[in-house]
Amino acid sequence: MTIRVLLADDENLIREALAQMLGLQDDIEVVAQAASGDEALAVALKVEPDVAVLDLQMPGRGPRPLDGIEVAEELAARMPACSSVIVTSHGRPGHLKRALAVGVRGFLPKTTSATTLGEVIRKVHDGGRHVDPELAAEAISAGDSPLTPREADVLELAADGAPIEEIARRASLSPGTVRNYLSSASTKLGAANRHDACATARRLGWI
Amino acid sequence: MGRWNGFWTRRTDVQRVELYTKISLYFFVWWMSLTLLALEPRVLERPVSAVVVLGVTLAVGLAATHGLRVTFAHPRPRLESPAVRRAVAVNAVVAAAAVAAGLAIPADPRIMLLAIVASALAWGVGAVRDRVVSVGTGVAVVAAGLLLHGTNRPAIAMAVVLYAFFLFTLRASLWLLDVVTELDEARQAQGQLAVAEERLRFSRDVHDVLGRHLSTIAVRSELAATLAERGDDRAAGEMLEVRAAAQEALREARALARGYRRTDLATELEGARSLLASAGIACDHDLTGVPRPWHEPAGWVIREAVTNVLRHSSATRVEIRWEPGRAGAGRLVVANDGVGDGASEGAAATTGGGGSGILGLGERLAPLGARVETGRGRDGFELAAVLPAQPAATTRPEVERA
Repeated sequence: MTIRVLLADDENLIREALAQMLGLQDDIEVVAQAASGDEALAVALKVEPDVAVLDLQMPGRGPRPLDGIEVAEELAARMPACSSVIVTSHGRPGHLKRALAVGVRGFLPKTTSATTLGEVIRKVHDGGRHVDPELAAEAISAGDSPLTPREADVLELAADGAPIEEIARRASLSPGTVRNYLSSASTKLGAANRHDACATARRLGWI
Repeated sequence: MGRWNGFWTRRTDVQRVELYTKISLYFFVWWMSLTLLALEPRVLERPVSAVVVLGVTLAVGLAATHGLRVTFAHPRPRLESPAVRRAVAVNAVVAAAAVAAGLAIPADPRIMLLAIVASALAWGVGAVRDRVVSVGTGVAVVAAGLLLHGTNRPAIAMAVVLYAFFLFTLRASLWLLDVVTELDEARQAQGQLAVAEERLRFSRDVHDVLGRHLSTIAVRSELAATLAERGDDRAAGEMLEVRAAAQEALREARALARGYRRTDLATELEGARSLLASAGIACDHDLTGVPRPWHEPAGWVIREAVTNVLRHSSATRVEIRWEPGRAGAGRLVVANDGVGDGASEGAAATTGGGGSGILGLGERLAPLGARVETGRGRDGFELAAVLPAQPAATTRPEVERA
C-alpha cells in the first residue's frame, strides 16, 4: 500500500526535487504540492493525504500567512488520520516545542536526504515519532524560555521594528499593556531595550 | 492611571535619577522656608512682620525656583550665558529688596528673614560656576547679616552656615547626576562597541565558513556536470560530495547563528524538561551531587538520552537521576517507561542520524574514562553513563556535537 504524501514548501526548486526523489520510492506517492501554508491546508482537505510534509516557514499572501506548524495544528484538528512532518532550514528550539505540542510527529532539517525523509514518512505513518537529534539537542541546551506566551507574541511582533501602537493593534492589546509585556520580557532577558531583547530571544530560539 | 504609570515606567534609570534630583531640589527650596515659618509662628503675630516675612518668602522662593530652572537647563551654568546672568540678577535684586524690607521689622523676625534669604540664594545661584558669584553671595549674606542684626554674631554665623551647607548640597546633587549620566553614556558606548565587534567577528566567520564551502560546491558541481556529460560514472559520487559540502555549510551556519553559547547543566535539564513536556512526556530530574567536572559530559548524556526518548519510545514519563558511588564517582541514569523499545532498538537507532546516537555518545565519553550502559531498568528502558571520580582527560568545551 502506498503512502499518499502532500508536500508543502515555498521554495519550488527544493520542493520539486524532493517530490521527484520521494516519487522514486515504491511505497510513497506525492499526491499534491503546495507553495504556501494556506494552499497546503486547502489542498490537504481536498486530497486527504496520509502524511503532510510541511515547510516550517512559508511566506504567503494576506496579512497573516499560516506557517507549517499552524497548518499541522489545523490538520490535526480536522483530519486526525493525516500525520504531519515539519521540515525546516532554521529550526529554532521554540519551533520544535511548538510543533511537538500541536501533535507533529516528525521534525527534520531540510538537509535531510530524501531516503531519510522517506523513512521518517513511513515511521510517522505507522504512528511513530522522529525528531532530528541535532535540533533536539539544540532545544535541550537552549533551556526553558522564561517568557510567557503573551510576552513571546509581543516580542515577536516587535522584532521587525514595529512601533508600540502597531504592535498593540496587531496583538489586540492596549499600548500600555504592550509596553508592560515588552519591559517584563526585556527584564527577563537582561536586555537593555526591546531590540536587544528581540535579538536575544531570537538567538535562543524563544520567539 | 496608565498615563501615571508611564510617567515613571517609561523613563530610563538615568532619567529617573534626574527626575528625582530635580523634584527634591525644587522641594527643598520651599520646604526650608515653610519649615522655618512653621517652627516660629510667632514672627507672624504682628501684621507688618507677617506681610514682610511672607512676602519675602514668596519672592525669594520664586527667584530661587527660577534660578534652579535655569541651572537644570544649563548643565554647568556660567555667567557667559545670558539666561544665567539674568537669573543671578533676578536673585540678587530680590534678595536686596528682601533685606531692605527686613529693615522695617523688629529684630526677632529679622533672624528668620535672613535665614530664608540665605538659603534661597544658595538654591537660586549656588550652581553658577563663576567664583565671583559664590563668594560674592557669601559676602552679601554676611553684609546683610551685619545690616539686619549688627552685633548678633550667632545669627549671622547661622545664616552663613546655612548658605554654605545648601550650596554644598546643591553642588553635590548636580555632581551625582553628572556622574550617573556619564556612567550611563559610557555603558552605552561600551555596549555599542561590543555589538560592533560582534558584527565584525560574525561577518568574518560567515565569509570564512560559507565562502570556503561555496567555492567547494561551485568547483565540484562543475566537475560533476562535466563527468555527467561524458557519461562518466563518477558524476554521481561527485554530486554526493557536493551534497556533503552543502550540508556541512548549513550545519556550520547554524552553529554560527547560535553563537558560541555555553549552557550549564541546570539549563540543559530545564530545556530537556520543557522539550519533553511539549511532547506530552513528564520528566522528573534531580542531578544534585554530580561533580562539577562532569557537568558538561552530563549535558551530552541528557541530550542524547532525551532525543532518543523523543525519537524511539512511547514513553509517558522520564526520570533523570544521579546514583552516587564512591568518592565522586557514580551513575547518571535516564530512565523512561517506554514499552516495545528494548535495548536492541536503542542500540540499533544509533546507526541513524549520521553516526550520532548512543554509540557516538559512548565514543565521546570513552576518552574521559566513562562508559554508557543501556538496558531494562526498574521501570522501563534505562540509559546510564558510568562516571569515574574524575574525567580522565580534560573536556574540550568547543566540541559541540549533538
